[in-house]
Amino acid sequence: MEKQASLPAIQRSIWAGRIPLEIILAPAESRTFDQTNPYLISFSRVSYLPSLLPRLRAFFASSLINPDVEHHQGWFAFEGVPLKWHYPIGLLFDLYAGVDPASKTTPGGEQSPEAESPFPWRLTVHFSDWPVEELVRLDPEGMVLNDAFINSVKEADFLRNGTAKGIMSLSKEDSAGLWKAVENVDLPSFQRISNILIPPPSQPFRNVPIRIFLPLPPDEESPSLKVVQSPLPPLIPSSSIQSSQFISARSSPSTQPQTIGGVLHNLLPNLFPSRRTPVLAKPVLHGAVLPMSSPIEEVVRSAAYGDGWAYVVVRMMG
Amino acid sequence: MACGLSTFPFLTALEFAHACRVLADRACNLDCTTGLEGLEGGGWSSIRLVTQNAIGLKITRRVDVHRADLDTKLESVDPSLQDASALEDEEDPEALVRTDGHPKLHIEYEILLSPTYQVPVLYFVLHWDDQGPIGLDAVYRYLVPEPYRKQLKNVGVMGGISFGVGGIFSPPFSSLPLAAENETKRSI
Repeated sequence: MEKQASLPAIQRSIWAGRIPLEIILAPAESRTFDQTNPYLISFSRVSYLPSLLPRLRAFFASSLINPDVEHHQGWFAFEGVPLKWHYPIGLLFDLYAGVDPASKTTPGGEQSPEAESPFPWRLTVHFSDWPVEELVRLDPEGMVLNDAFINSVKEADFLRNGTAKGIMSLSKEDSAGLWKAVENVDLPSFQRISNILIPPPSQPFRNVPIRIFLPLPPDEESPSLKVVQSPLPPLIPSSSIQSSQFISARSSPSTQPQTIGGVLHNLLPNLFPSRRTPVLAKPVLHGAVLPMSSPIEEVVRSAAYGDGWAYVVVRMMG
Repeated sequence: MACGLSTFPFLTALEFAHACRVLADRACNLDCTTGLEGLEGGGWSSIRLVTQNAIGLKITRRVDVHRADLDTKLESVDPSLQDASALEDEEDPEALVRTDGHPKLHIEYEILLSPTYQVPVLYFVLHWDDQGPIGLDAVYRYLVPEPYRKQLKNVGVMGGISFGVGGIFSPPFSSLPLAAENETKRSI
């Protein structure tokens, strides 16, 4: 019989997840063009790229043509596409790296023998020519990144509880501590503060904070991300579910947990004609294929990023 | 047409789209009736109904910034503008057209139905002429009257105006839910 992992165990695994990065300085900004040594790091999936900028600025200091640039002027690109710094790197990797997600039958990151290995993930850091149309500028103190993160936490809080009073009444220490815990990948500290915001398991969310990222069109220059978001209650009337197999102890006889497959089928019926089986596309979270039968509230309780959101990437099959 | 709100206090996408169209029509009528004075009297450069990606209203406004504010801005925000300003002070006998050298502050207001709050949200995007968007401090500084600034900044852990990235029309934005947060409304 298959053993199910507990929600805390899934969360611990996700926070322990890391992506190997190889970061090069943009050749046009380097005294040695493309001969600058790359910066290598194993970086947490829940972290944000700007956290790397101070050490990258220091690492590349002797190579920079313009020695006056500051760390907050840095931005990242993958194959020429500026990376949105307000998304955790785990989401960026799922969106852009093109790695086959892990599933029950295949381990993650495996490619055909002739394909180039996706690891380490090769990024370019720039310290000039900020792409003003695509990225908002950072500041030396990191407040812009902090504000964007807290705004995202606030939206997730509002969806879970129907009000943002939780985050708005959080103490300054806890608010700063939440961000610091994500920056430091400190799960115990994160859990202490997020438990103030997240309703106990006995109390269902009002709505479940999930954003769905649609496949990026190929060959489109600097494609913009297409995101789908809709109010998603964790429980739905039983009649809208075909099978009774998902009834949980928490749901009443007239309600049943809403599943990932059900959500995708309702919101994207062309991509997900079945609510039980991925036919044309599959949902990916943290580099793994999400089971279509996963109750959405359990997904968010165990596998949300530090801002409280589950960012599900739709990957086309075949 | 009077229409009820089926999910009050929230708005459905259809109800919001209807409200946007009515407001855009009224602005257009005002414009047609009074010439540009109708809009410009309110300080607006334009208002348009946007239907790409999502329905919403986009209102643009240009603001002449006071010299004192501008000097502070030049010192603190953008050193390159200081250089440009200095160059313009030099004599150039061949120059036929001169600008006044004052960067104009452009403000774009976008009213959208927030997929999170399910109410209309007012987004602000501020930028100087051809420069990229500027941050939350500038929103408080140029859009919030001084007597209300401190009070609004002190709402909750992040102030009454939120800063976010990845809006529907524009990448970076500051936002103010128009109905979701009573505390914020009271502050205003």
